[in-house]
Amino acid sequence: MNKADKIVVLLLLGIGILFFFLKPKKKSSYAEVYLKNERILTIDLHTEIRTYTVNGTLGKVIIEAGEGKIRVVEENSPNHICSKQGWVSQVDDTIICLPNEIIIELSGKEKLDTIVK
Amino acid sequence: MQIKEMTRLSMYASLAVILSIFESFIPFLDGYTIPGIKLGLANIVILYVLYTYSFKEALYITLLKVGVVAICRTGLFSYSFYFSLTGSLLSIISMGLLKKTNLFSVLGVSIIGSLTHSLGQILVASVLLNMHLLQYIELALFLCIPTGLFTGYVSKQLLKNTNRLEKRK
Amino acid sequence: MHEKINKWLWTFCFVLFVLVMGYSIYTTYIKKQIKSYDTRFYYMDTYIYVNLYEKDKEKAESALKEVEKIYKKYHELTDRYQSYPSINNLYYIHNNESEEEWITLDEELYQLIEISLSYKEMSEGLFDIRFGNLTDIWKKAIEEEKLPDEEELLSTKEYNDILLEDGKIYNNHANIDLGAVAKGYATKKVGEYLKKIGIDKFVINAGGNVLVGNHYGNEAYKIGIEDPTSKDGNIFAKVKANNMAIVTSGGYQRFFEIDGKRYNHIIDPMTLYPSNHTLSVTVITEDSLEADILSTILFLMDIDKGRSLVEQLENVEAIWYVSEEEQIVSTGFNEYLYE
Repeated sequence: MNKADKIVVLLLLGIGILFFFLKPKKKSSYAEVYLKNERILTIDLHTEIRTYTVNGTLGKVIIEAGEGKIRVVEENSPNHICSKQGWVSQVDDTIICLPNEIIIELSGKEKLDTIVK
Repeated sequence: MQIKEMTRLSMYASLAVILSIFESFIPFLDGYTIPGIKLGLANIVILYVLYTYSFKEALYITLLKVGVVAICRTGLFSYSFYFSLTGSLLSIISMGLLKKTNLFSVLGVSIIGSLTHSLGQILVASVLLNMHLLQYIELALFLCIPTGLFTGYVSKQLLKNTNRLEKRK
Repeated sequence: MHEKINKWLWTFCFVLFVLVMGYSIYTTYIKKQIKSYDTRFYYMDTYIYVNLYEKDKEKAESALKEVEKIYKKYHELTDRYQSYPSINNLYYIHNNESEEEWITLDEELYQLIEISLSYKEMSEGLFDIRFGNLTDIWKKAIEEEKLPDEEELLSTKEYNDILLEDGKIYNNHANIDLGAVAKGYATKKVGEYLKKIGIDKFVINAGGNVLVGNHYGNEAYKIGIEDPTSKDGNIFAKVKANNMAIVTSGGYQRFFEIDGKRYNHIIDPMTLYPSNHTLSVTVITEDSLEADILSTILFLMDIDKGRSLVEQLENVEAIWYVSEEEQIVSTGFNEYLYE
């Protein structure tokens, strides 16, 4: 590998890293709440912040969601890991509350063409 | 072109085809898992021809490879065909240009070839499939370094051992 | 050496420039890209959204105008509260004080009434368009949040039968209510019109009546079905379909509650009261009119009966949202569900 090669490699790495940090972060638009691998709730995050309550295995889990973000406010678990996690808002972020067997997944892909009501 | 050279070149072309098909069996780096990202084994042959013959011959082999692979596996004028055609052409052209500068070693040329190959495919994919493939470009930027180094290294060893590099220089 | 590099660099940049320019010219002038065109308007007591995906801008825009005209036409034909010049619509039929014995009807209105009547038997009397006054009584009740008078309800049992003959209807002031078919019918006609002029990529949502064409990029359209218990418009199921009509009938949007009992706007003509078998039912089938009619029938029908009805019909699937704990799907419905 000569000098020019090395410069190319460094340049590519540099552009790659720059890309990684500069690319527009996708705000998530939907959150899906799973209990024991079963989806129990789909939350639209385009709304103002609202409170949702779901029943986890150890009791009530209170979730706040809206304005593109979501968090667990209150839950019964030994370490309160998921309520300490705070707000999450990026696509593919997850909040996992293992003791309650609840997983919250954010997705931006959820682009429905229309909704029947 | 002499018969001997022609035969040799067609051997190289078939080798490129075989490597190209073989490559599609490699998990993850098969070019389908992530569109546009693959190992690029056929590039070893193309690089070798580029260095031992010239740009023209390497271009022939590239086109032959794209055509034959399309006929054998993906179908002519299918989406994959266009991906492969654009990627391969962009790759061979940029490699040819880069080699002409005499600044880079085989490794550098190979890395750029790998990158432009991916970029070409991603470009076509974004047109044909209407997809935003920005995140793939980022992946391509990172992954072209190891894949390019790998194919470049193999070509370099090949060139060294066949001594052709010295002869032509 | 240096000059040589420069030369090559410039050539490279030039080639790149030509490529980029060529590509942008190609996409803007030669290969027109499919773009989305949409519109919304208010007819038949509901907002109607139409979304087309088309390369030709002018074609799409004129099509959208035409689509609105079609909805307007059927809106006027099936309007029960207002008459329009030179149209013999439902209001005209109901309030015709003239001496003429038979009223000539618009061909399509005639057909629509005929088709609607044909569903009466299949639904065992549940689907009945002769109860315009019953609809009105409950409409008022929902507005006032007050149960209607029992006698008033019973009085609706005496209605004028609909007699059709040779494109004419017998002038007996029949109070016809096509609320359960008009949207489906108009949507069907719009779908047919769009396909006829060569636009096959579209999404129409006419107040619970969804009709989709071919998808513009992906494999199929993704349609969410709203959770009737959710105040936030959450969805409880997602279906994937092309060239299908998806229609929901639900009693969860217009209703009132007295003593914990819900009274919605979909009335069972047999009991004269709103039906409460399920919170909502969604039908998926090819024909938008059929989907609309069936969704009403299934909403009014006992769920088990409804299920066996759906199983009998070909290419018709349905999903019932009975309650938060219970959702029922017909056997073939899973094919449309996606995750």
